[in-house]
Amino acid sequence: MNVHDFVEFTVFGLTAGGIFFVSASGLVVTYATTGVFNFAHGAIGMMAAFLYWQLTVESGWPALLVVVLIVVVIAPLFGLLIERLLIRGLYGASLATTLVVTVGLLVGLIGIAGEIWEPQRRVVSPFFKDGGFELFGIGFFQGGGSDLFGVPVTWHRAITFFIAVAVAVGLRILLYNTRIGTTMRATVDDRDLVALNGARPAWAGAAAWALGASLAALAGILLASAFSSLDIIVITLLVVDAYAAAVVGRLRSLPMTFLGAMILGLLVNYTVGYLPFAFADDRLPRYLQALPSAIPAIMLFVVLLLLPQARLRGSRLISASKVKVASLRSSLLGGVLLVAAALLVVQFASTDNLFELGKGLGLALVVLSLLPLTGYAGQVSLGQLAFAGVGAWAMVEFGDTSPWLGLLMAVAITAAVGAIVSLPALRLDGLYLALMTLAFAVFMEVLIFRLESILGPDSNLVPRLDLPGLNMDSQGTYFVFMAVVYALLAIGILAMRRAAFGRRLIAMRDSPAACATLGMSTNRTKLLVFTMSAAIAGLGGAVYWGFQGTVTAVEFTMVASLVVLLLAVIGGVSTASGALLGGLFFAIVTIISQEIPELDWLPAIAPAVVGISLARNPDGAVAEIAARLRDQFLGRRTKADGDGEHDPLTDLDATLPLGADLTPVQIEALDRELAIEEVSVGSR
Amino acid sequence: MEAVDEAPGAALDEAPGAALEVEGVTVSFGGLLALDEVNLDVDARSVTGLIGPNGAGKTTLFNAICGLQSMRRGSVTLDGKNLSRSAPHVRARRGLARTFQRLEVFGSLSVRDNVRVAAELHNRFSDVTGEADATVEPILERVGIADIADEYVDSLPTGIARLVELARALATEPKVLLLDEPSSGLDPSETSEMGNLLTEISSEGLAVLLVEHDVGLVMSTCQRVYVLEFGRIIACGTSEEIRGNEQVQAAYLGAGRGD
Repeated sequence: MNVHDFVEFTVFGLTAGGIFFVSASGLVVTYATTGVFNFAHGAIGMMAAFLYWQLTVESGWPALLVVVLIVVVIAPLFGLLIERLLIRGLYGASLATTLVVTVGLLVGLIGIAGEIWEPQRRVVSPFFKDGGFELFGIGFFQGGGSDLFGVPVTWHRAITFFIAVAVAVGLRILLYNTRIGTTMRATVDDRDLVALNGARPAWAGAAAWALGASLAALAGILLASAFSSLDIIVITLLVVDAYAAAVVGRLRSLPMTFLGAMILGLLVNYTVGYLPFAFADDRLPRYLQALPSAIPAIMLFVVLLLLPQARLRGSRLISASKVKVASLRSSLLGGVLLVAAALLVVQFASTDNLFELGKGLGLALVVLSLLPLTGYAGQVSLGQLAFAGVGAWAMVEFGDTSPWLGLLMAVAITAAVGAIVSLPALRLDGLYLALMTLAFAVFMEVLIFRLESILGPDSNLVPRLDLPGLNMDSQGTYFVFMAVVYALLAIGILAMRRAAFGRRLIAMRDSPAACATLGMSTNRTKLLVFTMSAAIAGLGGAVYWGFQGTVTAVEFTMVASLVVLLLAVIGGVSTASGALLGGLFFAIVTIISQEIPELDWLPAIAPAVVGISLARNPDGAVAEIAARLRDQFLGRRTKADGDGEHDPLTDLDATLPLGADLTPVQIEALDRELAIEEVSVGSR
Repeated sequence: MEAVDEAPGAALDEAPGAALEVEGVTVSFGGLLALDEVNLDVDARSVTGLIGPNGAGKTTLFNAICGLQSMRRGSVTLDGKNLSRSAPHVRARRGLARTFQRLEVFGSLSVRDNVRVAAELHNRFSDVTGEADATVEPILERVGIADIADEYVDSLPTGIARLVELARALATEPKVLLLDEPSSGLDPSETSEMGNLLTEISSEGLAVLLVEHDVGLVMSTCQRVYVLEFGRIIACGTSEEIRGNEQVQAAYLGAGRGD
């Protein structure tokens, strides 16, 4: 082993670790203060990086001015705006709702960036082109290149690392030595109690989002200047990688996050350095060069395995779903209607439109996999399209012998993969499952699907299922067949919902703690439903890509997986018709964008915008309208949400630490509660 | 702890081994001792009361007993089996059930389905082979919520939702039942019905541990009462002994109490 190389990779690793920390600390601050995990963090960093390029390279402004402008002014204002418009109403909301909003923001920002900055080569120069300094007698960069054991330590790298340290120290001081910081930390523990004590949790939340956005922007700019060329997805993903570092700190501890970031930075760079392809590209297959980009996902998987079992949480404030469960009769009727509608579409749609509608229907099969998982069990997966990709691959791989064997393998393999992916996150809060599935989607996108032995760089033929007496090669016949598959799946899922397992899923969503005290192993139940959901996605993928006829690796991106979740929310995540509506929504948006060239941005942005606006009601607009109509015609009124759930009297015991200083409101409440006999309230 | 020693426990059933034995349970939050060496026995065929001011640690003790809160020290023994290291669902399958002070109902299920989920879980993990539905209706009747069985629990007032929690707990056919303020939200006549129900189910063999602020209910139903203050048991005895205990009056009823 060579000292020079080791030092070089270590220097690179610490620099990368510094950037990971800056990014991860922003995530930790927003999550710890507001309880909302910002999936759009990476996209904010990406926007900042492109804006930096725009102002420094295109407009020629001085770099320092632009950094200050973005990090101190623009990004915090953007963070405030997001908090005010999207986040403030979400405190205490269900995980699915908060996830959809920030995931929608992520997808939307990537879509907007793609519209503003067309793909082209963009180069951002490092902060300092020359000059250097000396440390312990070792010349760092004199005249543009000084060295440590002969390794050039550029000013840029040194500064990146020092910025990370400064951020760490600054955050520590902010959180522990200032009033706003104390309020921010207290807000995490109990929002209502902070308000009772006269502090302003809303203010703390806004400050946390401003700070988080600022740190995301700083990380994005540091990354941009470390890269030879800017790419929307690459920069977003790199900021996303910081999730793994934040999880080391359990999304709360900054020192542990720092440690996690440094480990991550070093791991990535040692992987680059010590796998032989770094030295001789031709010695290893080229695809393995993507391994370093999969390191964060692997690290997340391992860290989640090591985290201890989380405390089971009780019910969230907003939980109950008002969706009626369809009876067997109405689900059969719905199935027949769907197949009839499909037959009509085949008669009247043009070839092009039939193709887009068929893709929408295929996508709906994948979206349907979220019905038991998210709609019933309240767990969220951000990697459903990756599971569908596994299904499509299984069809390519095993469908040659017999398409039915291919389908069987698609279901079996995705179920197994689903079980493995969910395993480390089952013991933890639903957010970690979402993070794990996101890491899975990235892992599959950057490493697995591209493998020569999986899908490779070219397109693959996907066989279609054959049925006796039917010409499945006809688009129309296969379209109707997909409608039949959807109807059967939906009828089956609804039957499961009406059975004991379905009741258990709803019960687990409403209160995991109560379920455990009734004898349910929540880990086992989560594993079952996640495996089932992955299997449905795999089946959907096998059928969908059969319709399309070919499949390529680039179709299974992380962003596309996120869109699947948004479509589920758009149609309604807890109804069997919701997935169909979501799929159709996407098909119609695509058709519109093809008909009207000015609207070609629609498919990239519409799911995000509509998804965000519907997130507060994840049952979907259709379910809400149906419920209103039902109430109108049947004369039934539904009671307001959360009625009587939060009685300040009964909450006191749960929220008051021993020996806490009491506010007058609390003292009065206590007095009233203790006035069990004839004790007079005013006697204190 | 002196008061515990002084309490003669005259009315206690002296059968060896209580249904639930809590020994030396200590829980701390950060540096704060929420429970300090708590000892407590709950006998079968009896209702045991646990009272104390807010913040005394009653709910924390419930959480520690059923496994939702990890303990620093101590043991929880159910019917002679040490469950201190068992997961909550394992404890539940061994015969421990509870209700929650802060409601934990399944709001998007009907009253009947709330109870049915519990009965189905119980049937799955016990030797019972009958239909879960057969056990649900009698329990709904017994708790007095059969007439609202098809309502969604989310739309019920707090007091009634507590009855749903009680019915749900009973559907697991527990040996030990922990009730966290079951009467809060009930009117006086409903509260007295609740008292009768508790006496009845305990007489069938169940061990009930009752946290309650309604002193009337505690005094009329409990054979033995523990008093918890600042995480410690400060007294234990029959209702009469507790009522007359000055230390309890000082701690629980506060200095404002005139007579």
